[in-house]
Amino acid sequence: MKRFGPTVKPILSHEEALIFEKSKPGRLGYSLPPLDVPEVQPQDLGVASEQVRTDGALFPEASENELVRHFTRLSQKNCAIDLELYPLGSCTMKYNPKINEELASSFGFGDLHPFWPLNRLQPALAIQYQIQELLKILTGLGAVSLQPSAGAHGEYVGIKVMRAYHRSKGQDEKKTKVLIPESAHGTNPATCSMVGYEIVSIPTNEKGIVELQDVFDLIDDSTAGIMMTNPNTLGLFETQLPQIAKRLHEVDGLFYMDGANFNALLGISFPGDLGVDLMHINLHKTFSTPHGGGGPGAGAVAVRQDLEKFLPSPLVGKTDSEYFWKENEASIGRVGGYFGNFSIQVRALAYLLSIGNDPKTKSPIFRRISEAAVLNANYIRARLKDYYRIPFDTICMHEVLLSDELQKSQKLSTQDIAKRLMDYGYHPMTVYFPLVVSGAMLIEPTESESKESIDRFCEAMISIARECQENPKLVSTAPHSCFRTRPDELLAQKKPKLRWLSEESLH
Amino acid sequence: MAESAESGFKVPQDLFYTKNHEWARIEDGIAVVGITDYAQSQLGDITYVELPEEGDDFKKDAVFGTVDSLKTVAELYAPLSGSVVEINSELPNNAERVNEDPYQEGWIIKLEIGNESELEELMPADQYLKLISKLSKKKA
Amino acid sequence: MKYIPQSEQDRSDMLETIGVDSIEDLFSAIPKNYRCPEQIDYPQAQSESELRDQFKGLSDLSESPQLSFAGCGIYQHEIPSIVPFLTQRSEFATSYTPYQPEVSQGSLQCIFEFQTLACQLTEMELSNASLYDGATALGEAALMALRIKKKSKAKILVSSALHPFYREVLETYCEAFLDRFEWLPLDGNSLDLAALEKKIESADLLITQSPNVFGSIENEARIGEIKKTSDALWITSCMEPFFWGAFRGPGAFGADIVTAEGQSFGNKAFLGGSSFGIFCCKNEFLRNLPGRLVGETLDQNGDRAFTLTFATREQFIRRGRATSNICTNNNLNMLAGLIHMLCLGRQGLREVALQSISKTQYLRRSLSKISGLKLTKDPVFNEFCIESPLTGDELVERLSQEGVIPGVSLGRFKEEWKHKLLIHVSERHRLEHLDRLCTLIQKSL
Repeated sequence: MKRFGPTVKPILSHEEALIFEKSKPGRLGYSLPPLDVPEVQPQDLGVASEQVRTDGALFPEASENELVRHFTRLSQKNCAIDLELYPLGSCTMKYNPKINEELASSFGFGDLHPFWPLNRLQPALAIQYQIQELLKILTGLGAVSLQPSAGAHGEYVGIKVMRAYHRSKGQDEKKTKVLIPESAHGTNPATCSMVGYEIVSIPTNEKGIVELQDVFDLIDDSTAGIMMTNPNTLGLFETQLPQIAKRLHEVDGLFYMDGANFNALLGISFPGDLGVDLMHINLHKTFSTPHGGGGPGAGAVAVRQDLEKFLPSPLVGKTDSEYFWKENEASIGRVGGYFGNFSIQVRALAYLLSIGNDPKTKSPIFRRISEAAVLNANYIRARLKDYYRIPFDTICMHEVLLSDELQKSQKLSTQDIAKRLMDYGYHPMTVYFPLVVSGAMLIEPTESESKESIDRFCEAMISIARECQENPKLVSTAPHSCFRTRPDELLAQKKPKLRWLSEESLH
Repeated sequence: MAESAESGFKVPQDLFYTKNHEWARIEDGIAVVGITDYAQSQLGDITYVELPEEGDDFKKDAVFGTVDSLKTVAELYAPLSGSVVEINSELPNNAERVNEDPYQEGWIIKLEIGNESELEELMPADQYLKLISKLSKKKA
Repeated sequence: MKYIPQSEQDRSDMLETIGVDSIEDLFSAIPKNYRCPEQIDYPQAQSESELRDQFKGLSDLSESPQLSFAGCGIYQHEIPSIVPFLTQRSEFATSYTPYQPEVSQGSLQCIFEFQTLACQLTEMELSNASLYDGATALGEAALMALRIKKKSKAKILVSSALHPFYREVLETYCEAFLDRFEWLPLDGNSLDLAALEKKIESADLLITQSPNVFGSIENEARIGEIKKTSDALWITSCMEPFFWGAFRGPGAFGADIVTAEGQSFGNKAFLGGSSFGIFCCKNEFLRNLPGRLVGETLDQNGDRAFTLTFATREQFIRRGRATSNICTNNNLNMLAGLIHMLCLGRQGLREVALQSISKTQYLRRSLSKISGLKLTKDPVFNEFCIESPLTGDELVERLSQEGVIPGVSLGRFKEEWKHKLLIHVSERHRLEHLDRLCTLIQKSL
């Protein structure tokens, strides 16, 4: 293979067939004890005969060791935080401590069944209760639900609570609109649509935040609430948030904060103090649980004390001697199968407890986390500003936004820069988001990176900026060192192949 | 057929245009509606067109459907108020027609015009040409 | 702090490059009066060994039972050792959504393989990359079907034997359509098919679950025939996908959307989460599908490659008009499920199902000999209901004192079900476990 640019060892390079193509009749990857009762066949149960199945769903057949190799090889075709800085903006790809994993797989937590009697579930309730209490401190809000399965699911709970609040006050009919900045995550408008709200878009000003007067002009009696990410998706703190919240409260609207970027605010500012009425927290971002290739996450929703009664039931309560499920009188209803993503909650609690107050200085370690995250992002901003356009060149919070404007003259775009970054061994940053900046590149280093690690990343970015000028073709045809390069996405839609089909079924 | 001098986009003289880059061809009280050559070129490969149903009523500027390209979605705004009398049923399976022939084979819906006077609010070809020339310049 | 690598020197060097004097200057955008106080009332940070002690302490708050027959939507199966071993690999656990295909072929191929198995299992044409869980998958399915039937005002028929938690999630998701809901009556512990036949004509949507909350297997072959006489879309839900090791998938009977809880494959109970939701539908509904989807294509060199596809359905592009707000597939749980399914293969899937059936029937026969106990005649897979003179709660409490959880008391959901106990049997239970349960129940009556 022809190689360009930096010398990267060709990892991720085993060709690995689909497991279906490797299957052979009779191979086994499991073992079971022999059946110790008389065998009964499905057709003996009195079901309609056409319901009985004998083909084992035609699952492929592989031995255990083949499967281990198959998945180990596949794993090597992924980038991961444990391999290298993973600068996906808005995703908070921080280090996932291994003690979290150890604790989650210990002490029988995995065996706890949601319908065991309460006196058998005290460990689970105690864990949930502690998380509720700690999140109340960090958000400055009065009540917490752990039922949502992810950030967007938390948004759904929050906006349903907003609607339930207005209904309880007999003003649901007239409260029809939610204001959302145009820079928002796509989940925000999608969530409001699911709950039946009309979306009103707030423009972004030249400083990258919302303009107080713009918001004031949009707030009226029909405003059910505002949904705003803070720090926003451009990595900037919404300095006018308290005034906006105050004005919103005058028309009895609720302020929902999208807490996706909470990693910049730990111990810096309590959202409750800013005037936030309700918010979600992505436990998998801020509180370090692994992202798992796209999930599971875990959402938590924190609300003002008087909104507690609307949260999904149950919450966890505590008497002197035991923990119990607490039903909410005016609950929006259940949003998930059971009691939230407990396996993720265990991990998050381990983290929440390990970032408490420093035993010596008594100052909170979680504040140092936010400080380090913000420092790292600003350091990248300072190092790259001569090489890439920074649309809002001011002190940023935990992530920094670049654009491809300086590279456009060479007919190169964000896409090309992102692909070229792979040749330097990095997973690209978030691209083309937020939508308010053309060719956006959003970089979130998190607190987990050392100065050396960030320097290496910046040098790669600077080198790419030079390549854009000196050898644009090298960049426009990147990546050159990956297992695959620029899969044809149009073909994927024109001739959809969304599952494997056997030769027989194809013909 | 007129072409924008700078950009080379087709802008037929006999159509009406909107600032959202829809066109309308008026035939006996019926408006045939589609998106312009400029619009299809900005979107890139079109993969899907979400169509309304026959009989649906739309006010002028209301969203009547969407056009998906690989990575974006554009909303389609009714150039005139009216009732949908026909949809281009070829599009669900052949969305690329909008790319290939935006003014003929790639038409999207036919509207029975509800309010003739709204025609005056639409742009003639010359004015639309100016608009896209300006947009092309801004982009460059 | 061991998770923050910057040294004092690094910090001051970095501040100098940035051109500010102190960390404090980086937070100048936040008005002073909205800053947290210097000291915060929060517990002291804990070291690893303190954490271990604390979590051990938490786990000691309850004693684990020696034996459990609790199911009712969350099932404990034997999980092959390679499942946690492989899913904990850093490259799977600490990667993120495969938006960039060149550096995510591993996750993408796994999802593609999963989509294939989900289709095979349910006998459907199309599967997404998974959703949060079985209950939310059902909620999303209902919203999707209502989108497809956008103009209609017709009835939404739902089985009364739906798991009550699923019912609650469905009602939350479909709050705007609740006036169209009609709960289908039961005949014994399964759907009253004669009633369904009468009502189907006026319906938009039909929602059924099999096996249902009583463990009964619904006659999906017959439901499919009835459904065909109408324009209704048929959504099915399943809490125990091992069921499909011995029984046909709903796709074989014409289901339009098939949803299921995936937990049984590869995932421990963990109080019910995290797990993953299986979501399959007919090809014709591709554009309405919620969640991620992976497709096969070719890369620039003509090599087979996988990529996320049809993304314009999703919130990050379609925003307010997206098919759902979901931005997650429970990928690591799905991966655990995928590996478990592949370990089993066609033979293992069937064997687990047969062992479950055989052991369930053995226990049923034994319990049927106890006077005072009532067992329904409906066909069941690996779970069934008994009714006893005692309430379910009483039975659970009495046996729990002996270290055995005999099942789930359905009285926790509904007063009228208070004498029903739902007992789940799997391949994990041995003959002596089944005999012990039988003896204890007999003793307690």
